[in-house]
Amino acid sequence: MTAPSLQIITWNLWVSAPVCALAASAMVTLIAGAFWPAFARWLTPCLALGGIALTAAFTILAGMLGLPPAGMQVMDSFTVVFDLIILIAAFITVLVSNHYVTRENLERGEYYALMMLSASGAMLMAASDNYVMMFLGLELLSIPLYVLAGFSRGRSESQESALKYLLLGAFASAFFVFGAALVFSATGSTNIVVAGDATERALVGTTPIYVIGLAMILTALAFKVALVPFHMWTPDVYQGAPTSVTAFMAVVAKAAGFGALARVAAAGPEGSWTVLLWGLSAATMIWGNLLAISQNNIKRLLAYSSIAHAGYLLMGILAGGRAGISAVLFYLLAYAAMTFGAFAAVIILAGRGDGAEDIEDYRGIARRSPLLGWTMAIFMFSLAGLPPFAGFFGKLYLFSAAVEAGYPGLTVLAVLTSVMGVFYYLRVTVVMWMQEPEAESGPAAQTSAPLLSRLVLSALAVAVLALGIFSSPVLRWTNSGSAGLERSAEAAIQMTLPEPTNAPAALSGGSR
Amino acid sequence: MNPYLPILFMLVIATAFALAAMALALFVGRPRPGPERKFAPYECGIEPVGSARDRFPVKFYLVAMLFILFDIEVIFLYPWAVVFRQLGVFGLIEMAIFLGILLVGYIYVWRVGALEWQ
Amino acid sequence: MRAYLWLIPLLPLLGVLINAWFGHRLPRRVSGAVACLVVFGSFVLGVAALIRLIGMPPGQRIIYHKLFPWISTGGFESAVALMYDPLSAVMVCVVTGVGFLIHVYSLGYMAHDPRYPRFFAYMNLFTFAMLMLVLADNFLLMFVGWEGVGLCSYLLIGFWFERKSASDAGMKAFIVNRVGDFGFLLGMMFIFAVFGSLRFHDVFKQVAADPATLTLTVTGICLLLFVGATGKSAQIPLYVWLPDAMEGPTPVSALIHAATMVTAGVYMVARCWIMFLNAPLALTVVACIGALTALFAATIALVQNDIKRVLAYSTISQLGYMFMACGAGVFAAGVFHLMTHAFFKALLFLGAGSVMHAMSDDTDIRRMGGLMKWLPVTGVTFWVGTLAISGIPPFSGFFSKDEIIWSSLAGPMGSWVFWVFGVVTAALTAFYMARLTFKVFHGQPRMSGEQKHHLHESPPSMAWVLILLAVGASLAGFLNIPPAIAHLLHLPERWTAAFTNFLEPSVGTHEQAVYLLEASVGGSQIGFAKLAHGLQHNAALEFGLMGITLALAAGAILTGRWMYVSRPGTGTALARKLPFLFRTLQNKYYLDEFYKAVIVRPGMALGNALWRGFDVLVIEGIVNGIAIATAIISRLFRVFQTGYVRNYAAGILAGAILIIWVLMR
Repeated sequence: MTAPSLQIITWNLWVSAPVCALAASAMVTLIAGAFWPAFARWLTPCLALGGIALTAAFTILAGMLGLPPAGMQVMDSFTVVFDLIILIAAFITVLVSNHYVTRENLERGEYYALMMLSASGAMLMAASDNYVMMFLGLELLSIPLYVLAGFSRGRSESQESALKYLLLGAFASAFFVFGAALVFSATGSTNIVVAGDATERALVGTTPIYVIGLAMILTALAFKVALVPFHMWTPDVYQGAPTSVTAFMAVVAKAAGFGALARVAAAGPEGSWTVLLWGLSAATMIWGNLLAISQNNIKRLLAYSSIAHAGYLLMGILAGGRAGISAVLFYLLAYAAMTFGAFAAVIILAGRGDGAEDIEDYRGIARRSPLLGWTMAIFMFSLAGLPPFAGFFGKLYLFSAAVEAGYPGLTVLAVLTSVMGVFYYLRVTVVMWMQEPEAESGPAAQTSAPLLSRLVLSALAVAVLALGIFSSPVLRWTNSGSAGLERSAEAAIQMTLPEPTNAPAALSGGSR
Repeated sequence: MNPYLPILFMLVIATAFALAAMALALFVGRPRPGPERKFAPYECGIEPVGSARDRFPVKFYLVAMLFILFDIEVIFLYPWAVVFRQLGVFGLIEMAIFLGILLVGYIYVWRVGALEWQ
Repeated sequence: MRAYLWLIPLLPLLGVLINAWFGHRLPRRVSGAVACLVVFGSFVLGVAALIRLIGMPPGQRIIYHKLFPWISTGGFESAVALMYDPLSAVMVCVVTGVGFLIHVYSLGYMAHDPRYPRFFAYMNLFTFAMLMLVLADNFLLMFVGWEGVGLCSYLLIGFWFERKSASDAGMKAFIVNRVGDFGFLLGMMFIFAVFGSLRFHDVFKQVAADPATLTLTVTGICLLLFVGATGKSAQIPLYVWLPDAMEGPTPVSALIHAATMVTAGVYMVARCWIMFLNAPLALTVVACIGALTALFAATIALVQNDIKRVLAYSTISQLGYMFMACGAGVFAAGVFHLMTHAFFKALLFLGAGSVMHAMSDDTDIRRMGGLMKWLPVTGVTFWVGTLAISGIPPFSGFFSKDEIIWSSLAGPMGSWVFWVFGVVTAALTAFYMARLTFKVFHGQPRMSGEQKHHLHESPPSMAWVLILLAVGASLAGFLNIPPAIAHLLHLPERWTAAFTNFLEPSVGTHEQAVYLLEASVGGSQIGFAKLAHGLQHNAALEFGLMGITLALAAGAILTGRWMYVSRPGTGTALARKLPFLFRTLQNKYYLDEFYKAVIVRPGMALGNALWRGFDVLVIEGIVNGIAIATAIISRLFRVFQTGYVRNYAAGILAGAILIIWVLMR
């Protein structure tokens, strides 16, 4: 083995700079929390916010450099867009968490550090064009989440949630590793595009092994994003985990899975692959919406709703191409805003000890707190996909991408199931706005919240509205991301062509 | 097909071996030992004194886990040492980063008091 | 001109912001006045723009105003752009004009409501959304307005949410409308997929350029769009929400559920006239649904005893008329009836509101009677409305309804069948309206002593609105005097069918319609279009048919008088003689029950069953050890009791095998 040239090392460092920056910030936060526990209350979240901002700066910088693929990771515009979505989500999580963590006495330095580590795993997953690296990302994402799910140690539901997530997550991860091994054994490469290309060009005669491997990888990713029939852990884990962690899981873990799926999806075999994604998407949106209708616990309802949204997102992956992937990215952003909003409202409403989590507990709350009533109504309408909110435009882009890609049947199904969705989202609003508060005993919903929480809530509501009304520039941005994905795939194939040239010349093919 | 034939053989042999072992136990072994024997923690040897399901401090687990973590660190150093010359400066820096991360973990563990027995 | 077109929708939005933020801090008077003034401002601007439009040469009567690009990326382009053409102009003037009067009426009607500013904020928000709907120059913006008016309708139906029936009705309206909206949304997506644009102008240009090859696609799109129209405009089978919507305050019923929002479906069909004419099958469906709904709702209205419900079914029936006219290919007739209907139906609803006001919110007509003595203004104006809707000349309804009935026969897609439906419905309409009016305002007073004590005419602000609307309902018809009558009376040319001529640039001429239809089905197969063309100028036939309609309507009113004033009790006796028919009608053909049994309940049951099966049994039942009720199921699930995580893992494994199987197939 010869030592790689210094230039390549520098490039590679830049490619992995964002992930490293976030992980390093996480370590700083961890140590700071351990050394000055007295100041942890404000020091760790501030460090976390700073670290995330720093990482965002690194991401933008690395994106501007136009770096070639680094062999295991790519810093293309897809990665940049995706990383920024993850970072925005992580930033909001820190803000949303603050009130919850303080109230539930979960203030320990580890909380924010773990969250940042998990986010760096999510970034790694979307940035990797290689199954091995993707697996590392998956684990880096998941392991902190297992801990976070059980973070409120006093509550047995939280422990139950963590244990279930750990056992099933480990089970799913095993699928991923085994799948990656099979893909490697069949094609001799762990690069996603190269392995897919090798089978396509029939360079190797072992397609079945490749397909089985891919199926296993898909299984693991489907578990992470909670597609039916891999969704069963979701309601249990979402309900038991601390609410701020649930929000993080619902957004970041799901986004990471879709980022990875976007990279993997292009590698699928023709024909049966689309049938498979079609079926998974259809099953997920039907099942998720149907089960959400009869939920009484708000966190379970949001869990099933997140399953349903995974079905819509998969439509975009299935449609593929620039329009499809761009729609997925836009939807992820919209979904992040409205889901965080809904969870932020639940955090306030549930009160100390998460007592009031039944929808019925929120009777007439809008009259006690117009802010909560209005913002929650906006989030619910947006989740239901009503114009002019972000959710409507997200769905519009996804659906029109699917129609254009030639899946009108699935689109009809999606529209129909989203009509079902209106019912249960609307129910929350109706309970909050149109029912008399009951004077009986039972956990009462809270309406008081610190200034920061109220600000975050209002900002998210404004964001949901703004993403709807001014979706154009955002969509242009996500379009650049999906274009980057296409370019990287082409570049990866270029690299495998015979005629080994010296590295910089071959690598620069992917930069412009 | 050929290259996978050995795997098939291995699968068949493994299954056959497991089944054979169970069958052998069924035929050769003495049927129905006394129930009090069957439920004892050890069917042979010394009679147990007291329950094995004792409570002991959770700190043991903590120490055990920490041991495993840092144990792996040491184990990872061995293969690195073997190929150290080929890797050169690059390898040295990489290992330094790896150890640095573990050092952070160590400092953290120390600082939060996980190493103290009280 | 362009400079202030955007102000038309903006003014009501301003009113919303003022009333939503400062409403509870402002004095009631100010908050109400602001709400009325902004709508009046829009009305003035709308009329100014209309005058400007009339000043232009007929072919160029259209004003575009692009506000800002909304979505412009790759293949998808859409702008927030407004369009003011004759059709939009009519809609804007109706929405703001009638809307303004209803706002003023609400000042008095809602005077004692604690949520006064909120009511006006919602009303203004509705006006804003409705104006966006009719001013939009593309489908997407129209859809935003479309959903916006739905949302406001929901908020306003459930305005008195303390009453469970009100919040339920709001919910029902919203959900039923969503079913329709999904049709609209899908239609819109297919439009985009086929034409690559959502601008009306681009889409219609492509359709008109190549009618022959596009027919099949356009038929599908039109049917989807019409699903949306049936939801919003309360047509069979999605009309069930409108009668329940009467739970809202009466001005809301007048503005949203009679005069404006429910006509959005008609507006949309008229707006897409080129597409519908390119899809004769869809047009036939529109006409059939319209004709059926008109008759069907009129029969139900015959036996209702709630003053607002009679009017609600009457609205459904009149909307059916409008669709029938559109389906016959005469869109101008539909839009004309839309306009006159806005006047007289708003008048009737507000009159009903005035009656309720006097009767301490009682709506049962069996407890009314002889109210003319106490409420002269309401009574007289109500009579104007009744005569107008019954089609008695010279009131506006005569002109518009006569034009629809004549078009249903003479239009390019007209037929005798539709004509029969139209005439029978006209007779039924006259009868149920006569029944309502006579029962409420004439005959013996049947109210309780206490109610009688409180009877009073409404305050002047409400009475004046009634008078103004009555003037509108009487005179609006003269805007569109049919050519046959104009010839007979030797009226000048510009008086003849002025409204239709004005609308023609927006909704096409008879010749254009015939051309498009023939192009769609390929050549001369559509012989009846030519026949209809011949009928167009058959004045004798037109007068004869007009006479039949008139005679039937007049006869129906007289019968009503005989049954409910001269010989009260005849109706009851009749009901006793025909119990089955009576009960069927009274229960609205049991359609609500049918929907409940066929759609709502199975849906809920399915959701519940899945939820029970999975969440309760597997998770809660087993994990929490809750005793499971049914022994069999519990025994079944006990097999898996070894641990639920394992079950989940088994699910994952099964899924993985499924994936492998699908991929290896």
